[in-house]
Amino acid sequence: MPNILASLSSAGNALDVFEQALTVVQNNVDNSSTPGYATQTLNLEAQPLVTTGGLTGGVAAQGLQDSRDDYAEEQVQQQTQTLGLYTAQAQATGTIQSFFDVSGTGGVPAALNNLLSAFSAWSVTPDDATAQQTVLSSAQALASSINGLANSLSSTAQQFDTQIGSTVSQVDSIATQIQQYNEQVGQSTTPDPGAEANLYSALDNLSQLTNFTTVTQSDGTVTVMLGGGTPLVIGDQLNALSASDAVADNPPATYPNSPPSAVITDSQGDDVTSQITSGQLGGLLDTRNQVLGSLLGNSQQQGSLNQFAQTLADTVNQILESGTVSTTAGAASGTALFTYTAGDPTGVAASLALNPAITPSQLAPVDSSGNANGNANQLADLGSTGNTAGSIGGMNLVQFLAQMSGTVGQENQTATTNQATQQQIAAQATTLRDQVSGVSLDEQATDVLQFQRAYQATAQVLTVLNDVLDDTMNMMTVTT
Amino acid sequence: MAPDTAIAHLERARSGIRQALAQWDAADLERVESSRGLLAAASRDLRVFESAVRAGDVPPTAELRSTILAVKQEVVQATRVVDACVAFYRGLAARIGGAPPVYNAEGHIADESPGLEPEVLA
Repeated sequence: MPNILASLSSAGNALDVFEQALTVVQNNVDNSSTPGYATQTLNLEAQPLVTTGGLTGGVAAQGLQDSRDDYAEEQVQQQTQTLGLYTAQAQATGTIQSFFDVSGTGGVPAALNNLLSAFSAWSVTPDDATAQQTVLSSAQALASSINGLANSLSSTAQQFDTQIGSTVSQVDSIATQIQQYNEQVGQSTTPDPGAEANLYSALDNLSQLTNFTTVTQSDGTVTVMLGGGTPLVIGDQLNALSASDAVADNPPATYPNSPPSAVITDSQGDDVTSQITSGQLGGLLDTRNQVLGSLLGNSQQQGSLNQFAQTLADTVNQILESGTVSTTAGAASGTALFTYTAGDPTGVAASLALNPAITPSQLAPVDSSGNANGNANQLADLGSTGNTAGSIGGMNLVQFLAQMSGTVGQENQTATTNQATQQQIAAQATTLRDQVSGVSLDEQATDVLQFQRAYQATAQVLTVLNDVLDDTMNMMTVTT
Repeated sequence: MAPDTAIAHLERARSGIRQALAQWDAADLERVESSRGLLAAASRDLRVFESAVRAGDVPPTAELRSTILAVKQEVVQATRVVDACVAFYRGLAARIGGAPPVYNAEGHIADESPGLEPEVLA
């Protein structure tokens, strides 16, 4: 009789175990669309069976095992971070690009062309009051156009600052969720698939925003570190980030009055900006500090727009002030056409203005050698190919302006292309993660090798394609 | 070779590269092989075009240069997608403790050039 009771008991236990297994399956089905959830399997273990010794066998549940593959998860997170970077760069540089007229029919390029045309007309009739007035009004329009561009870019910098602040708040919010998960893990003795799903969902969301790495500690808690190693979450400790604006002083500022850059600091006040190189936050910081900084200036550079404005003003003023208003002996010297706030090289574009003291008759067409329209001709030639007056880095003013807008356009095009490619790579990483998750890689080693070879062979064909295209392109270059 | 014929090879190569990228599915070995086949065919077409250019049969134009640059851009995109798979599986292979592949000076796995037609490698 005892043996029959033991068998009945064993059968009852087995039914309990199978009920648990069914519950796990049902839970998998219920959570099939839950972000971060990984399919769970109930580990079953056969119990000892000794017919003569009272051990009746049966089956016991030995805990849950999830199908998550940490390596694949990390790959998806990395590709998502890169996608976040390119997406933010494409959007942000698109905003900046919209302020530049690449066609040359509007904005600063058109205003510069109008001024050069006005100089040209004035050089033909230097004493004509209408031609003189056209020079002044064209100079006024160009200064206003440059002011407008500088102001639009400054407003964009503020908008980016707002977005950076909002993104940092999201990072902190997700870091708080991870901290809470760690607290929960510390109090629990068994794995909780629900809590783990929340953790991985949080990490997926975090990877859209910034670059980070994770380490799972022996106590089950997750340490999250920014790219440079600064911890964001360690156990139940949160190192919250905050965003601010500042003129960087390390290295010492060459332009201490420059527009500030966006800075991210941790809860100790340490600057961690350079550690954030990917994700949406990385893309925003790059565009805000590097792309806008190269145009508007920062602690280390004057900014190409200011460089352009100052070179324009200095060159035009120097030519006019070196001459006289007429060829008559004792004629008055020329007057500067432009003014700007001195002492702030990074504020020239915003402060550039038509000299309020100048009148049309104070324009000086006569050069220092006494040529009646020598100065006017020099000014009209500022946009000519090969002209060295007012050149920046070997380019005349027109070329420099074209290069400035071309650079912005190129930044946007590169980011947009990168974004399109990265979308495919990120989706692919998810597919590969799903493919390897829950699979015994040891058992599938042959498949892994087969895929590896197939990819490698494809990569080899692409190398050949690249080489052939390069060769062809080189031949086309030589023969054109 | 007539210029139009050579340019038709370039266009066919471009179409093949686009098709290969569009149908690429990293988790499906058959489709990976199919994409590779399309790329190999594109490579053969490009070699024909290259020979025509070398022979001076194709007058160089700005439009043609622009097309070649566009094809190059598509190849770069495909390379990045495939390289991501190579990197993923390289890491996976290392993780399961398989012997790491040995690479030659060209960056390919040594002792194998799987499935590559001789004319593609030529």
